[in-house]
Amino acid sequence: MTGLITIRDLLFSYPGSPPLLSVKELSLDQGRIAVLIGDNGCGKTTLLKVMAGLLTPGAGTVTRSADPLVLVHQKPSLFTESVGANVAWPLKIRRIPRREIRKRLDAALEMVGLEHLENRWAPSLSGGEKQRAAIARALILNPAVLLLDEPTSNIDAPSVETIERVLRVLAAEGTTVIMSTHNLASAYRLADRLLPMVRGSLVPSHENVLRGRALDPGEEHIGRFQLEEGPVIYCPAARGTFTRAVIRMEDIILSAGEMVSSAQNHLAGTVATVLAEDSELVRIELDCGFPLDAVVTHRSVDELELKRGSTVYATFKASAVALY
Amino acid sequence: MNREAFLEAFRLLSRLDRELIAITANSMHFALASTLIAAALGIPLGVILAFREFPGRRLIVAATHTLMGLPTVVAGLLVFSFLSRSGPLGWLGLMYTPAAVIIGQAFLALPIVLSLVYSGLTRLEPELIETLITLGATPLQRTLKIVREGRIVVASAALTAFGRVVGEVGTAMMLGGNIRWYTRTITTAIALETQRGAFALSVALGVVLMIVSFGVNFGLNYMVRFRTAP
Amino acid sequence: MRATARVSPRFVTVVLLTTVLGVSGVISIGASGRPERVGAARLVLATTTSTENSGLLGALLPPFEERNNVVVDVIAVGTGQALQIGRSGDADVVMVHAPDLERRFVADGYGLERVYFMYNDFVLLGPADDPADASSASDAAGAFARIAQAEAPFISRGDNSGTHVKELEIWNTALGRAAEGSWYREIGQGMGAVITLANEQQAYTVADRGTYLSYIGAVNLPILLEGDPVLFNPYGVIAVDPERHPHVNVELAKALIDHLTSAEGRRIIREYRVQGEQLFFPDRD
Repeated sequence: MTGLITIRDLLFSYPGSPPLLSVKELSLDQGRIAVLIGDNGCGKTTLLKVMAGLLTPGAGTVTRSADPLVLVHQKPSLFTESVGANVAWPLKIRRIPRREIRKRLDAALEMVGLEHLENRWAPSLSGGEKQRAAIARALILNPAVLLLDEPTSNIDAPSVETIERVLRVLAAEGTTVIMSTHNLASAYRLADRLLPMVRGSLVPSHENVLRGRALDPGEEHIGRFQLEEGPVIYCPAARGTFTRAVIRMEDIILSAGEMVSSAQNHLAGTVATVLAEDSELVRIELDCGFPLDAVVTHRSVDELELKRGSTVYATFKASAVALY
Repeated sequence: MNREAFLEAFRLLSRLDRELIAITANSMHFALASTLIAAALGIPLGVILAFREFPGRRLIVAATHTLMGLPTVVAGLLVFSFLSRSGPLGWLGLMYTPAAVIIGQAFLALPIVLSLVYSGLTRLEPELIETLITLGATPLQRTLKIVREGRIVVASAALTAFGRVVGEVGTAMMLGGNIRWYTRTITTAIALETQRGAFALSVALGVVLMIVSFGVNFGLNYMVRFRTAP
Repeated sequence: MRATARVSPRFVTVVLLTTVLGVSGVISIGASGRPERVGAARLVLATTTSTENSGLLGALLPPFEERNNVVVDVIAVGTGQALQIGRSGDADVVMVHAPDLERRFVADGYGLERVYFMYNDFVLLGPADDPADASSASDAAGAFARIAQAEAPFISRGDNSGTHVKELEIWNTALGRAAEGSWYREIGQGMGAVITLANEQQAYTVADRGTYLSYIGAVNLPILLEGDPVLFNPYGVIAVDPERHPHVNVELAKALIDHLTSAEGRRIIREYRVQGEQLFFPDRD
């Protein structure tokens, strides 16, 4: 199946520089939030610009079957005029009737919580307000695909919260959202799909991002996280609202029989898939009542005789679980 | 030069002497028209230079920066050689008319407008143009928006050009001929009226020119401050 | 501060630009100083600074302009440049004072007939204490010889104007060659600039009487020598040859020449006064 944006064998470099991007395959589905994560300079922004059609790849194909497709830059780049004029501009240049502009402007401003700042001079907004205005200026077009470069970096917490809520609502309404971020918490909370990048390439994610909610630990010294699928896992005791439990795949120990150990989480599961990642590592997808992936070496696969349908135990410490 | 000349100069100023007004009007007329021509050509060209890649672009930019300092008499000589009756455009009969002065001053103003618009616009956020593209603006809509976003840059470029041509004497003299009522400007009058002992008029015209220059500089300072304000 | 700084810069910029554009626009359109003459033809007269700066043309031209419904545009430069403007066809008629150059202009086919119509005279100016004792000389060449002998500072037009040509002629008579030396300074500027500079440096110079009179209160340079026939300065007027430059208005050019030599023209020249002194003398007086 092909998604709204499909990339194949993409290579990109600026003239006279080494390749910046090399993406073998990427297909993004409708109504999902994909989050690019990775170090500075790993190519997140460049990939977003290629997807937005602002940069032309040197080789490979980028297919877009969605319109409109809008990129919101990290620097919001608002026009030096009022907030309302900024947000309404994309409709104005399309000669949309004034009445409809008014309606959609109100909706867009309300969505990002800037309705009270419509007449403010855009350059005088705070960083978070600017970013929200830039997002409103994009979403007023009802984009099929919304690309955002670091929308939650270096801005105030309430703005981060607003932007995350807006992106969830948009995705629920069918907009495909692709964003990059440094902010891992934001990434885990939002991502339907994590796309880690290393030196211009997409690499498989080695993190299980489990949805659910943390239970109140009360006086306990260990916390519990209720997964959407039902099971409960042990995690560090922490107060607050957490909706994601993140476990690195390398932190999960697989064993043929039940182990006695200090680790609090022992889960019986069935091997769903055995997937060789490279000459060293193999990814094992387990069904433990919820999907859980582990990464082991080829040698372990041989020793444990892991194959589809095998029964194994997955063991990990409560402290290996990170809450977001 | 003596005290009476100064007193007479202020008398001329205070009763808006007809010749004083006429000469000032010529200066304003020529500088304004040439600046408008230079702006009409220089602003779109500046946008193209700033945002389009094409062969020879760097050369044009370098040439433009060099021509900013074009000596006025060289510009005058160049235009003279074209407009003179013995030149290729002599049949137009423009030599020693206001049109000739305006053309010459437009030659001086164009590199200034072009160069300042170009360098000012390249200093706008690089994300701006990408934002305009991604929001679906047509090339024309993009250009208009960029000029609007860079309006301070564009306005100060035009004002700088105006300031330069209103105070130049080389082309106005060579192409206009300092013809009374017709092509006599503040600068040519000051340069030549002094010779026939018309000190008072020269002093009065000098005061007018200083007021104009002051206004231009005040405007520029003001805009630069506004632009660099956070 | 903040709030005002946010709104007003924009406002002020708009106001500023509007004011500049508006004021210049109104001045340039509304107050056109040129006296309007409906359907007037244009005649370009290239002449010397001495005729224009003395104000003579201001008296001489208006009756002609009115009668023929023409505007005469006067370009006042040195004699050499005025002839050059005629040569390139950028003027319809030239009025200068360098007979040799004028004759060559006609001989080379650029002008029709050279019409001699008035004269004035040159004077030798110098410091009141006259260090070279030039005023004791009996004629101009003698005075020049004394200046060269004393190596007293002398300012020359150096611009191929009629005055310059006359000065070179006198040097040639006095020395048998061109003057040279650090005391002899060619400045390449108009008569007014030369008089001003000579005054500042307390140097000798040759000036036409008309320009000198307009400076008489402003400078401390008395006339040291005058009246030598060699200082006689005849003015000629020449219509540009329409065979060379077909666009020139030869009819009006001829009409102007007729006006200058008419009884009325001669009367205006004769009666024109600066500071009570007659500057120009019509031919045949």
